[in-house]
Amino acid sequence: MRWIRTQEEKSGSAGAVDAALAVGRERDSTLPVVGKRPGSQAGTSGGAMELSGRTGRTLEVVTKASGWEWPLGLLSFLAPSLRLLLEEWMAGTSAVVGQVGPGSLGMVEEIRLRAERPLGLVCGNRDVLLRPVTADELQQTVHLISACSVYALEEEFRQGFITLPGGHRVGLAGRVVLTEGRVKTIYPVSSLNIRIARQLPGVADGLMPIVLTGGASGVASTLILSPPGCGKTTMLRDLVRQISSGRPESDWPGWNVGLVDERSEVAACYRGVPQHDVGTRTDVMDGCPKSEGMMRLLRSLNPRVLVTDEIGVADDVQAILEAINAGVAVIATAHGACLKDLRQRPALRALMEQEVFQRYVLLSRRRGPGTVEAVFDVDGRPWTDS
Amino acid sequence: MLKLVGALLILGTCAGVGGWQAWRLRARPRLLAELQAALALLATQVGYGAVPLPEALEAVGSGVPAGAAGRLFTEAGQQLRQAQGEPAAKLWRRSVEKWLPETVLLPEEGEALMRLALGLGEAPREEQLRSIYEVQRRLQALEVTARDVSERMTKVWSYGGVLTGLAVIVTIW
Repeated sequence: MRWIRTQEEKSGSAGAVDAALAVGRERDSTLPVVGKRPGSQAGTSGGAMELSGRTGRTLEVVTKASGWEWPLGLLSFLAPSLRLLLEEWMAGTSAVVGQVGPGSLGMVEEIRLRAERPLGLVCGNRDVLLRPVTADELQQTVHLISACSVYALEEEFRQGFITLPGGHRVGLAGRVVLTEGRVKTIYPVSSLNIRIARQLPGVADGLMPIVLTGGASGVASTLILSPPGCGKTTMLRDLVRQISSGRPESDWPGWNVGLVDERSEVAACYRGVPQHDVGTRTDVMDGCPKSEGMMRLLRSLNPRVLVTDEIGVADDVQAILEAINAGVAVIATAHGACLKDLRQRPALRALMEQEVFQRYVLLSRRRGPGTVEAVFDVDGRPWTDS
Repeated sequence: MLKLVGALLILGTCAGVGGWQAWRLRARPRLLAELQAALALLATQVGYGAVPLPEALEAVGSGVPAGAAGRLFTEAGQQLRQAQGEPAAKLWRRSVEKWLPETVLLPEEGEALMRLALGLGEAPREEQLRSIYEVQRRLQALEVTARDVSERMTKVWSYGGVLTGLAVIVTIW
């Protein structure tokens, strides 16, 4: 029985991916049991628990040695039979490669579960497809992720994502239930996309000298600009961390930061507690609309820097202007490939015309996500450290 | 002498059975009232605290006076915490089925309690609360009936036990 097949979505080389995919093919003949559907072997319950215990120990060794420990926390949210499948795959790939390393665990970016379709592991530009996921397994996973408490995650179901401990995000799709034209919930859920969270401390090191040259105010109001998938949020998260915790190497003591995290992507709060390191002096308004969150932070928490993700509408602009007029620096992100894109959006054009941002940082994926393409000053001219 | 001891034994046994039945009749409405109080607490946890179900059930278990009602909610909460993807509805039914024979409640009262399983943990807040209130109302109606039966039958069983014992003694003396 063929239990694994590969699919190349885009061209391009990926050595680690190739190695792991080759391993998948090699395991095709050695471990056919992994690809069986649940219930197809005798003594499913007891056998599964015993096997899970054994591979669980292997997995612990693998994850600790590789430095990627995300599976230890994340797999407990999957249905037991899917957990077993992934444990086998992960332990197996590492063992056959001959060395434990990012070849197997580090490259997995997303785990995709779709009812009655193959489980997908997205690794960069490619994906690995394992055996089909049953509707029961998907339902069990939803129960584990939601702790059987849909009512406690009502807003998350409405918005279509749930944050797990460790900052991993689960995207939901399925049949949408509407009330008066508004999304009420998703039931039943038929697709889950688990995005594995990885914090990259130090990714904003290159930007810090640019942001910390704001004259008397210390921090220059900055807008990070890029098309989707270029690392805006990761960059923003590390900027927040460094501004908040301080940078001894540049004598930066650290300031109070107010973070409005409307989509829970920057701090990835789980029950209100940030799962990513966003600094020691950061207050997070989680799941709050940006404009309202900024006003609340300004009124009650006395931030010196306000940070928010993906601005774009008139309400955001109004709140940012309030902050700037109160002497608070603002760091934000927006979608766009160049400054011209900003000028074409009325709300953002207003911010440019009022000279709110002293720096515009343009990111791309040219040398991987987070590539700084250009930095512009308040007038839209290339910025120089004069 | 032997006759006297035998008569006392018969009287004691009959009075004991009558007294035990009378105690069960008195305990039923009390337990039904406790369950309603527990459900009110659960509604608070769900409606205002949006507390996840395992924690909410355990909090209810420790929030009501120690006894059968608290035991049910604590047990269900622990089951749910250790669950490996089973739906909350199934675990609630299993907990009630295990708990019911240890209590004074009748099967139909257990069925009313099991109705809480409908959509448990899978419905949005409003529907979840509606389901809790509905079970609470059913238990309230059952409590009224149980209290009525208790008032009518408690004395019957108490005195009936003693009188039956005396009747048996007189017959066989």
